[in-house]
Amino acid sequence: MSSTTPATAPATATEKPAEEKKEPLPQLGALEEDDEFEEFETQDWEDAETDLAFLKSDPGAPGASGQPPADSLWEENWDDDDVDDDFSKLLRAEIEKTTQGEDTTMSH
Amino acid sequence: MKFPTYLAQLASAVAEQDAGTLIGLLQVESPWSKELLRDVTNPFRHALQGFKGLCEPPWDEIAITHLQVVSKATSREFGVAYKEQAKMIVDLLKWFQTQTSWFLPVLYRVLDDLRDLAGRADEDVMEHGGPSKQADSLEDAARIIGTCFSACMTDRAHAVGVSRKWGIYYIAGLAMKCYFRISKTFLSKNIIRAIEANSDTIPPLESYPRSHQVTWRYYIALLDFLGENYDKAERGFVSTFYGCPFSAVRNKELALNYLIPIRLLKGILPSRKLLSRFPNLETIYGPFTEAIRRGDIKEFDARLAWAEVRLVEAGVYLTVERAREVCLSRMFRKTWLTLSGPEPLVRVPISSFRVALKISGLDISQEEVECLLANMIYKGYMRGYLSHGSGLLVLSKLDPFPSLLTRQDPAPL
Repeated sequence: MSSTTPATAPATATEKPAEEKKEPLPQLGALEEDDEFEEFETQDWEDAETDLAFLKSDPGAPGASGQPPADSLWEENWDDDDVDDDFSKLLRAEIEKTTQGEDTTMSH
Repeated sequence: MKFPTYLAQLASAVAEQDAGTLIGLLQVESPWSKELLRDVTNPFRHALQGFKGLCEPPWDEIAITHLQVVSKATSREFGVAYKEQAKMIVDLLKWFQTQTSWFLPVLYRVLDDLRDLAGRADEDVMEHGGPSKQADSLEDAARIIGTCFSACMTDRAHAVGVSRKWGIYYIAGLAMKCYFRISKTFLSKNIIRAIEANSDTIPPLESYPRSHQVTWRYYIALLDFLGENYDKAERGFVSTFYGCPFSAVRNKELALNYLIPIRLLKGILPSRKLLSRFPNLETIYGPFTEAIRRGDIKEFDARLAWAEVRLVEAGVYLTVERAREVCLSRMFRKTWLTLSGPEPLVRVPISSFRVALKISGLDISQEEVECLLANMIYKGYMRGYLSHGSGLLVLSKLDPFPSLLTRQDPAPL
């Protein structure tokens, strides 16, 4: 498959962000892949040939709690506390603008 | 290979219970079948009637029918080839019901061929068939596979070690593949019921070969997913994904294709490590994962439009769309965090959420914003209440945005 645009890279904070017109992403086309579960090459296999080693750190595993190992396949505690990103900067600027404009009408 | 030689080999393989040789002799595509077709000058059924009785029934008739299958499949008359293969299996069944598990590997291969021929026959009808012809071979194949399933299930004569019951899950998996191909998943009810009703006489699923277990679990999980039993589906896809060998990349990908959206809904994100192993999934789900992580609803919406065709094709569009709510809740949390000073903010003007939505490309009225917030509170994404009169969201001092993992959904799907 051809590589697609990387996920991130939101426009850097611009002066007129609300009016910012980003080109819409072109739609991903259909793959028309066969979605049937495939026949296995062998009837049976060993644990070592699978991801079962990761199962004990799976979020769904009984007793899996607290700190998942660093190589876990899933992330449960990922809350993003960054308040200096573009969104936060923009939000502060916009709210400042509105409150300035409404200072006379807004009561505290 | 002359026909009498073929008959003799077939008879001796049956007598010796040599499943490996029998597979070669009965598979559509095998060196034996090619030689047979090459060396029999007149492969038509009526021309072979003289050979009947040269070996024990039903093997004389099976041999003749097999040659019909090979000859028709080679001339790409898949409809006819399918019917002959179906006849061969029906002829086999009565005999099979007296046998132990030794014959199962052979049965698997002839059923694989049956399904394959049925698929080709249906494709042919859909491409070239006139209005009088129906693409019904796969459905018919599912019916025959169901009969073989019963022939395994009803083995009461043999000890558990050699019981035909060891064929149950492989054959059930084959039937499932047919049902999904023809979009008649409701037909799976009979097989599932039969397995449930006989659970006390069937060896536990864990004692079957892993390939049988995993395939069965995948299809059950898929049915649970379609029925929106997300918790059960999640467990099924988890055991499918972890239980598949590394070499079965596509099967792992299929399980993750459902598992990732189910988990996005619960706020459990696939790690970069996991996604990097599956580039196709990374392309699709990487952007959604990052958008949720950052609470970037604008990016989420853009990606939903971008991936719509692919997500619909993969059968997960509605699930991913539902995960938008998780993204939105993170955006509200971020708004609150941004406006909080060293002390967490308790009273947040509803208008600031409106601004946050607006800079995310969602220009909606104050009432609509209130409605969204009320919904977020109702669904347990945030704790607090709305003060409509003063235009404030009053948040709980304690843990106003509870962890997604502990959130209680008032109306679970």
